[in-house]
Amino acid sequence: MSRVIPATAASLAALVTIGCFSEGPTEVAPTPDPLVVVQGVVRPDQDQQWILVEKTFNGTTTDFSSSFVPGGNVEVPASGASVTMTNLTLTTDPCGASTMTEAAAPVDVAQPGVYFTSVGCPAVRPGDTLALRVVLDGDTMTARTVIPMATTFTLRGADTEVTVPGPRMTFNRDADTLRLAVDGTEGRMLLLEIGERRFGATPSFIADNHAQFWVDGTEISLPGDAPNIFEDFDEDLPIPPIFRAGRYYRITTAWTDQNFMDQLRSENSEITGRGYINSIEGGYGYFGSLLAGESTLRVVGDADEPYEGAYTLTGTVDSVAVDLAMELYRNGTFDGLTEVSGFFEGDWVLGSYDAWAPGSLIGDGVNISLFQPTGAVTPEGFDEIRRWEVRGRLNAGQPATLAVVVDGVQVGTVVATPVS
Amino acid sequence: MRINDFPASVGPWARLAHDLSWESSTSGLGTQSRTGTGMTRWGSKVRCVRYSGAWALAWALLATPAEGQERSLSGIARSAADSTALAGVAVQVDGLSGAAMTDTDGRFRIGRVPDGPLLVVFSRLGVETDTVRVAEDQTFVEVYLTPRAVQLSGLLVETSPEAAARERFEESAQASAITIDNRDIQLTPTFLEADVIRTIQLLPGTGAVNDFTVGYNARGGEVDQNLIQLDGVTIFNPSHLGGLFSTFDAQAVGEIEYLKGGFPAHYSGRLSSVLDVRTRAGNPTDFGVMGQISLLSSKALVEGPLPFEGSSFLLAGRRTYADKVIAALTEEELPYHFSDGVAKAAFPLPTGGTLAITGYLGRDVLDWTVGEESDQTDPLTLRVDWGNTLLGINWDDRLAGLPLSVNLGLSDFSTTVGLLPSIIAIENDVRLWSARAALTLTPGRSHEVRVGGGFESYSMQYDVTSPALDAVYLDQGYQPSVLSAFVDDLWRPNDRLMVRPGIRLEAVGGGADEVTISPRVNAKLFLSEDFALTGSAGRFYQPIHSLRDHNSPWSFLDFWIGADEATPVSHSDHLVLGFEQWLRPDVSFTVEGYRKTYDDILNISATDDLSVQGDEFVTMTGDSWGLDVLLRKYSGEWNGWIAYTFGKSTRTDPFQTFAPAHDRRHNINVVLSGPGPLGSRMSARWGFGTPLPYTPIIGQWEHREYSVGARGFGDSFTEPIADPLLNGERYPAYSRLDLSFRWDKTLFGGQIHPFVQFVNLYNRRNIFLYTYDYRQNPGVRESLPQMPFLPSFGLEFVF
Repeated sequence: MSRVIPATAASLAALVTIGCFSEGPTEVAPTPDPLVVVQGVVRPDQDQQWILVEKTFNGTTTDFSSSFVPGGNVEVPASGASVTMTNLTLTTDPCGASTMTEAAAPVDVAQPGVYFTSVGCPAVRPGDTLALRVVLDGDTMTARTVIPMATTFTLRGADTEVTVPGPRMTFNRDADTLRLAVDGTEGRMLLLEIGERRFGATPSFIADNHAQFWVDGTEISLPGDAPNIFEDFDEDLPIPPIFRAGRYYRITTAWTDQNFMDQLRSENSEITGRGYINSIEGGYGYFGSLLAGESTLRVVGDADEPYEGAYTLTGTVDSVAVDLAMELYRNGTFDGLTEVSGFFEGDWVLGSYDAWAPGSLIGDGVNISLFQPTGAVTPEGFDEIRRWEVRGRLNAGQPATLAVVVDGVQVGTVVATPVS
Repeated sequence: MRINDFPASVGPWARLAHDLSWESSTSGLGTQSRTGTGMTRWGSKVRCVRYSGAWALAWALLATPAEGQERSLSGIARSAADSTALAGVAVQVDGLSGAAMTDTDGRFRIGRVPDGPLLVVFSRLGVETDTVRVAEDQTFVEVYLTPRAVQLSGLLVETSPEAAARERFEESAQASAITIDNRDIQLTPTFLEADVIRTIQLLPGTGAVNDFTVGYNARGGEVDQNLIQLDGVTIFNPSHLGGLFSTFDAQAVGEIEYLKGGFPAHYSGRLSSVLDVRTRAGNPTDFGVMGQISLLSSKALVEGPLPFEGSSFLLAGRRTYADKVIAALTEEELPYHFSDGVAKAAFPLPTGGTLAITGYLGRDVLDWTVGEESDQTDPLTLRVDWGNTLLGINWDDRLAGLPLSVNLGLSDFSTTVGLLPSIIAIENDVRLWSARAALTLTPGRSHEVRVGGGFESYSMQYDVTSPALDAVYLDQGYQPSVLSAFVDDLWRPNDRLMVRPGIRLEAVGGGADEVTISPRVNAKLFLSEDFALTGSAGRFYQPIHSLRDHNSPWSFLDFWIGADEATPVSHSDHLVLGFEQWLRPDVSFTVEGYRKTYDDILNISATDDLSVQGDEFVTMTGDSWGLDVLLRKYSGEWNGWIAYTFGKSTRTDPFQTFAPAHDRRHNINVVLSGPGPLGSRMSARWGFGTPLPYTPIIGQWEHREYSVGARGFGDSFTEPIADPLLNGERYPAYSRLDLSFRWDKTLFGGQIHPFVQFVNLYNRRNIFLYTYDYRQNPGVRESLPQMPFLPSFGLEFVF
């Protein structure tokens, strides 16, 4: 037995050593031929339709900067393709088979691999069937979509109902459920996108907490206090809500075709590489269509704290007389910091103001940031925004004087007067 | 029922039984007392049952007519421990040569015995030999035999494995059958804990696609084609932790019958194999406790007598505790555990029958708080909760003098996956109510006929909802039912030949509305007492299917659907030919070739429309053929087996013909147990398998998310794209060596068994799957390995 133990131990050690170094974890993968990927969404509310034609990654490229398309960089664009889009329903369409080219793109969004139709061609009407044909390097990719039909998107809260597009609707996140309905036909999926309108006057700015919901049907309900699982969050922190009181939200609705729904509901498994429902014959990707609408939601909440409610802000800032109506709401408290936000409407330093603004409250000290476009453009091409911080202590039911600060320098004062 | 008319001819089975009877009768350890009526006994208690008038009439109609002054004698042998029937008991009438043998229901019949009082000897390994005096007018004997413990490597077993295997060889016409017992399971080295299905995976004709699944493929069939039963009740997803461990607690398992093809007519519902796991009954005389502590779980088993004489209970439970340990020692959280428990109560009935009730409950729970509560939002919990619930009632008795077995079962498998409380909930509930009965007839001396039938009612419901959105994404249900009847006959035209023809009829309702006919036959021809040719053929139907991607290396759960207007009933035809040879009294050698065809088997469809029921799969046909070889040594200082499998399988779907993911051409497993260092019992398992197929990734694409509001593509997800040609390439070959050492110690009047196990001793990097990154130049393929070298240890105790 005394010989068995060392012999066994030595054998085990040898086997483990051999096994540990016998193989490596990675190797160069075989280089496959790339596939052509076509992705595009046809919308009747666009003058020019566009699609993106690119290629799959196959281990031969290194440029992976991705950004918003159209206008942003396309990683592996497929240039030089012959692309046509045809309205099969409207046989009298004077456009015929509309050629799509990279050159037809508006200047500000032109990128290799992004193909645009000419303005107004082909005709795109609800109910029409459109065909896409892409020929690249001898390969032909085809797809079809049927444009959905709908007459009205209806948005309802507890006591109000508006059509989309339509007037701004007020919605109480603490008490109401938001309901969206469409009287659609020839479509498949109802989609609801929600994004904060950060600056009111510049609606193209959408904050990160962008939520998208869809149903295989014609109605969506969304409780006002629903958490936003689409937003990145830390598991040790509360999940942010979709709606915060005191903010405007852009509500985008869409009634989509089958192809659009299929690409949204399916994906290839990381393990098997299968699972995606492909709607491009001869290639990969999707060619979908949708009808869209847009509206604004004014989200309010129950006013439980003494500082919540309506105020007027009057005073002088940067030597300019300002006069704003403010409606302030508490958003939540975590780690001693209370988030607040509110609606602001009236005259501010650079002109009229109708937007919401975020802020915070520590103790009874409030700090609210007001943003206003200057009308200039930054060297990076963005709208230049100026920020004022309104600081001070709010007195419940009593007027309070607040300082207005820019970059740490006080530039004026305003008096916050509660409105009963 | 088997009739062995030994004065005319002595078959090899009778001779072995005779030998065994002498062997066992020399080492009795004592008996227990029990009141009998109307008999004289030596050594233990015997219960005689006199026929009522009706029973006698029925018996007279069915039994072989008596000749001259002779009469017939029949009876049943039961375990005094739990009243369960004992198979393989040699029954010898004093003064006559040869012996009869009890069948799987514990019954025997001797066609001609002399008039007058008789002395009848009952013997078998693992029980005390008993001699019973039979009165001159007595034609039926019921005897309770006391178990005699046989010490083997620290485990208490009631019979020797070679005796059970030899009994199967001699008494059963069934081909493709392998009997394993608790000892095989306990001694097979595996990951963390002894596991029933891990042991099954090492048998010939059987394999798994990787180390991480207890799903197994029997002779080229898919995982969902295996009928897995616990005490006669079908269990749907017999696994924990996404398939890493099976639901069966090895300590509570008694007998296991594994039929990898050609199964008889009383089994139904699956195309490829039957794994019939029997929970052992508790000890009816003494209380006992045993348990195990391993790195995976703690488990305990309690057994003992119930107030009714001869009745017993068994309770076993286990729970993983990694979640508790991590929470106690660190600030981290492992929000997962599984637990299961099995309970069994067995009762002898005044009629001489037995009633056994089995319950099982197992749950896997992942409960992860992914977002804390705030004054604006509720806490958000990712909850994945799944498990089986079983209730089975087995009643064995006599009806009009004929052996009757009745099985009633409820099996439920439910799954909840959700972001709770209200974001999304995916719920699945599969439920089966079953009732089966079988009656055994003996219309002649050479026939043993089983007739029976049953009814199975399935309910399968799938819901995907979002309470928060007030949306229903999926609402599908399947309610197939199966009304069945079968008859089969174990016919022994002579001492050399056993044939078991049978036929099964099933009416599948619930939308499929199909009547199926399944002819089946098994045969065994003895060319010598140690060599037999074996064969079987038959047709098999399967009305329910698991919706899984059979080409994926891993499936978290099976989702079952049932036959209806759109979902077909699958069928498969089997042909098996081979031989079995006993090279020594404890060594057998089995070779079987097989061919299987499949029709209307299902693979999941990735392109199904959630609002349409019936497009969630594609149908396939298939073909498998191969050869299984098993060399097995049952006992001795060194024992174990060498299993070799050759197999080839293809599947054809509407688009192509391909090799399924489990198509392994050659596979060999060597399992050996023998003396190890430091007084241990050492077990080793070495396996080698030729490459399995996989589908390579041929690139990656940017799946771009369209923002309606922003009118363009914002976020994108890089997704792999598989080659449309399924399983066109193969992984490297597989091999693995496992070792375990187990010690038997006595402590505080009980036994403790420390054990150490080493999985994948030489740390072979067997490929689990490849992942690709084609965004690099050049593209990179990474190999994700299966189980690396993993040592583990634990302690088993018995009091």
